[in-house]
Amino acid sequence: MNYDLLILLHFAVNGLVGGICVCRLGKMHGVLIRVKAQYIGLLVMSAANGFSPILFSQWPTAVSILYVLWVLFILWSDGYQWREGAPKPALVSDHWAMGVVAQAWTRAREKLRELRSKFVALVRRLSHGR
Amino acid sequence: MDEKPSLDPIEVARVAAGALMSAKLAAVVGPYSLILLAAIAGAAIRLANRPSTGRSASFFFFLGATFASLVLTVPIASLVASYKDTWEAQWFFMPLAVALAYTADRWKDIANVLVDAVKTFIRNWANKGSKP
Repeated sequence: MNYDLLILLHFAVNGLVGGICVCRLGKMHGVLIRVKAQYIGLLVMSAANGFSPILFSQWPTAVSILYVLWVLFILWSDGYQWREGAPKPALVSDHWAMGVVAQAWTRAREKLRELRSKFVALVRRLSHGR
Repeated sequence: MDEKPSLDPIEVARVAAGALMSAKLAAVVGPYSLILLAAIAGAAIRLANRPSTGRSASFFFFLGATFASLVLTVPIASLVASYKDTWEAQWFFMPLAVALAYTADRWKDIANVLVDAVKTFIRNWANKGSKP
């Protein structure tokens, strides 16, 4: 088999996958962390896969190229959700569970701040009493 | 095998690259492959947490952050490693690549923090004798 052509095709398809990941990562502000992680991981792995002949001396096979082509097809066919930025259900503010977590976090932080100021006042009083 | 194999990821990458290339080329490509992947990871994390931008802006940001960290990692790592004799530069490659790419366009903030620290240090040093 002609390896040069295969490597070029492999690199091109992985580059397209990574490019789609970069475009979507640019719209990720305020999106669930696991959705961010999907695309960060996919970007890194597509780079590793595309450069694998140079980096790890692993040669692409026809089947692996078909697999990456199918990943590219999945991303392309998923594009309608990303026409106007990130999809609505992926936003943190629209997710009730994340809202609850954020509220609890804020409350806990206020409580901690209160406790710390109390502790500081106590230490001041004790040190002045001496 | 008498010698213990090195678990340093840079060394492992060098050995893996040596399977394909000559040893001299592998010594360069092996470390840089891991630096490249780490830089891509850091740039992607920063890109995901940045305010939303258009396609070309995010693409250029990504390319710039990756290239900057690719270029700056090795010099900064060797600078850091020269602080102590027991420190080796290659242990700093991957963390530094991620950190540099994640910092990317906010390097001025970090520079400001450092300048403020120096200012505070000098002020405290100057006020050491005086009573408040």
